[in-house]
Amino acid sequence: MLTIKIGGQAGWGIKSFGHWLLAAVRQRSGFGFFYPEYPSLIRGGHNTATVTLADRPVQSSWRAVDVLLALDQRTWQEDGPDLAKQGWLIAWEGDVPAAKRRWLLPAAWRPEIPPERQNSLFWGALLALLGWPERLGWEILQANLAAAERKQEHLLFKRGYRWGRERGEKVGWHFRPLKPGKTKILSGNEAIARGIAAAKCGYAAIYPMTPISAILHFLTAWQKKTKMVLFQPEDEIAGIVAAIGASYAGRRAMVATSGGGFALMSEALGMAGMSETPLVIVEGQRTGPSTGMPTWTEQADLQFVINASQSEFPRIVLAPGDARAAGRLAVTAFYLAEKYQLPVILLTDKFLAESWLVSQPLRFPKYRWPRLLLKAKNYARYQLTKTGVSPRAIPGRTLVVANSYEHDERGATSEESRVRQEQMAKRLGKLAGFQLPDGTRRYGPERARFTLVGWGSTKGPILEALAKLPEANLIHFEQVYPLPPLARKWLNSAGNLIAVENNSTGQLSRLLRQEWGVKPQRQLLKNDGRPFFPEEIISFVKHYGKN
Amino acid sequence: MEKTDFLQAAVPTWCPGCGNFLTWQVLAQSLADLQLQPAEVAIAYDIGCSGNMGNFLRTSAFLGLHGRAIPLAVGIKQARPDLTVLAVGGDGGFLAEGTNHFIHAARRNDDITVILINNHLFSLTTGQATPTTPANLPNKTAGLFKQAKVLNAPALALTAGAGFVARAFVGQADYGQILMEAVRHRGFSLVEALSPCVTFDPIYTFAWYRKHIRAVKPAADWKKARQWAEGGDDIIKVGILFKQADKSK
Repeated sequence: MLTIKIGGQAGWGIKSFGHWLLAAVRQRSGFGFFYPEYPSLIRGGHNTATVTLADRPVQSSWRAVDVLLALDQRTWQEDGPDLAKQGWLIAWEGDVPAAKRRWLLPAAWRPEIPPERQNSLFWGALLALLGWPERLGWEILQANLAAAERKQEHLLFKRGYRWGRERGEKVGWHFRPLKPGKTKILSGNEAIARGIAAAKCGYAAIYPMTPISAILHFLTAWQKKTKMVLFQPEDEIAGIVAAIGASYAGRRAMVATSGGGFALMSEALGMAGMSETPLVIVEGQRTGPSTGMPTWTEQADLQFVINASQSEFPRIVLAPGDARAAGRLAVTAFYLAEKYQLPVILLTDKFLAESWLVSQPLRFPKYRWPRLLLKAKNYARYQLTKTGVSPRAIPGRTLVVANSYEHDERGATSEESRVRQEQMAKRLGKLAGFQLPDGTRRYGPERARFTLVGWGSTKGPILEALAKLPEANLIHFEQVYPLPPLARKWLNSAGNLIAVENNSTGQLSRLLRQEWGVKPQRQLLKNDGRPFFPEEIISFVKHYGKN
Repeated sequence: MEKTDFLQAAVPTWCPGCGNFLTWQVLAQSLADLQLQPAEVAIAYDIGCSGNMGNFLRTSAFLGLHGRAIPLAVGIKQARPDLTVLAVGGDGGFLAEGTNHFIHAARRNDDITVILINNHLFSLTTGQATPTTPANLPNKTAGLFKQAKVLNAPALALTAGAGFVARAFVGQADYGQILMEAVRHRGFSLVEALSPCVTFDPIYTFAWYRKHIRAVKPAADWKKARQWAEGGDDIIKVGILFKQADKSK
């Protein structure tokens, strides 16, 4: 395993560098995980890309940096402390003092190279340090270049590579890839967008917001093929209300947003619940509260999405643990929304949405989707049934009345006691005993001294940590609401429970306590906007083990 | 189709003499005259006295949230261009809570018909000021709006780029024709229906409107339409103020 980090200002191609590295390791039949961090601005600031490479699947970046590429002095100041003792540094002469395992690019070159082009030079040097072929590096680099840029970039890349090779040193690491099978480079957002398309979603209303904007971009790029109706609304309220209208009218519909946009949507979330209109909501969490740290990660909206909107109505919350699960659960979300006629929230976060990895290709579940009634006379949209789910028709050939007021079976507003009780029982009964196959999974040994408990995107770093923690296992939730009954047994028979959550107050712990009376003995929480590193989890568990 | 095909059996819950009775009856007649089927007309209703019409008209319908009938109608139409889609609500819903939706739907030329029933008040909540409440109209929160200008729906729609803008007094003889024209129009159409609140509004009564309205002939002159929309001197211009030629044909 090898972790490489590059840092510099926004606009210097830091993120591109991460993509190159991931593409290169994939071509070398290896695996990698890439996570970019950046402030909310377009130029300046401090951007980084961290890529962990290995000859086996990697599910998280690690903290300890083996190779640091500092395009400016600030990178050395901010990220230098994470450089491993035996780590390598490539930087500009003058930015850092010379030492062993430090490659310092001649300061004399600096004035002639525009800062936004120096990534090509560093890329060349890194390829040499890794001992990877020059051709591989150039092929990847030139793939996204305009013809006019090629010559200049090639010269820079070549200069970096040759300069590096002349130094005659190579980074030492174990990299013996086996046959990896078919792999793809995936991000959480791309996986979700592909899932949305695979589910044959027919309508998406999305107001741009970090970290989900890429979903809008993918869907827009594919629109010719998918024929999806796309709406960039005036605000998130219009977006969700229009999506509910589209769903009522017969299109499979969704919205995507982050916590702030979801806050605006919460009244209409209740309308989807009350009117029993299928709807998928992708909520990509970021660091709050309020505007918070818009481009950083957090898992602090769990209790919010479970409780948002007034009064009581059923909803499902799914939190994928990785990109493949994100694609799969996107399809599942649409299916469940239609099966139970309710809102389903797909809860991701910046860490999952905007991280890339070499992964097995996506696979989507196949479902027998509920059928619509094509034509019905005297149709009652809210007909009482055993399951609580009424036959669904759409306007056109059938007269369909949906209602956000309490209503009788035909959809007419009603305030009668009997009608109210019947309809509440109908709605709230729809999810009795709901358990998604694979909604929760146990990883590692069945019995262990320590059981880590996590949900959503922390799965990656926890699994990485688990490989070094033989005494621990993991219970992971992707179905977070309603809680999957299966996990209750596991939790009750587990030893020391350690909840690992990317928030300040332990929101899953609170839910477990509230629903099942299960109280994790310890909590490992993190709220600085950064995802967990496996090292943090390893040291927490080891420390706990000693006491 | 007959008018009665568009009427529910339910007895409306409006105050006796409420202007909404007229919109209810005239709209049912207009939809019948347009040869539409109740199932293929989808009406998004706002919240308020006017929105309660959702229980009395017989079409496909979605009784939505306060201020949000317009985006609801927009989504329905985007998903199903084959449906005839209307948004029915009041001055409170469309010009207070949902003003931005009103402006943006007009600007995008979304193919819906907005019937904004203006009774100058939040009447379902027993008479507070809305953005259209005239300064001289006593109401429960009048004191909070001493400096406030009155929002003019047709003028706002024209500014936002609406292609069809009408204003009608609910008691005028050709109200139905105006509604039919609006529904027929491809693209965004607005009908501001001046509708007396007989319980909370002592000034702007049926008799008052009869004295103060002046009909105009449909025009395609935007500047003139703006002037008509603004009005003045207690004279209110009614009729189709602006009708842009249909570019999609």
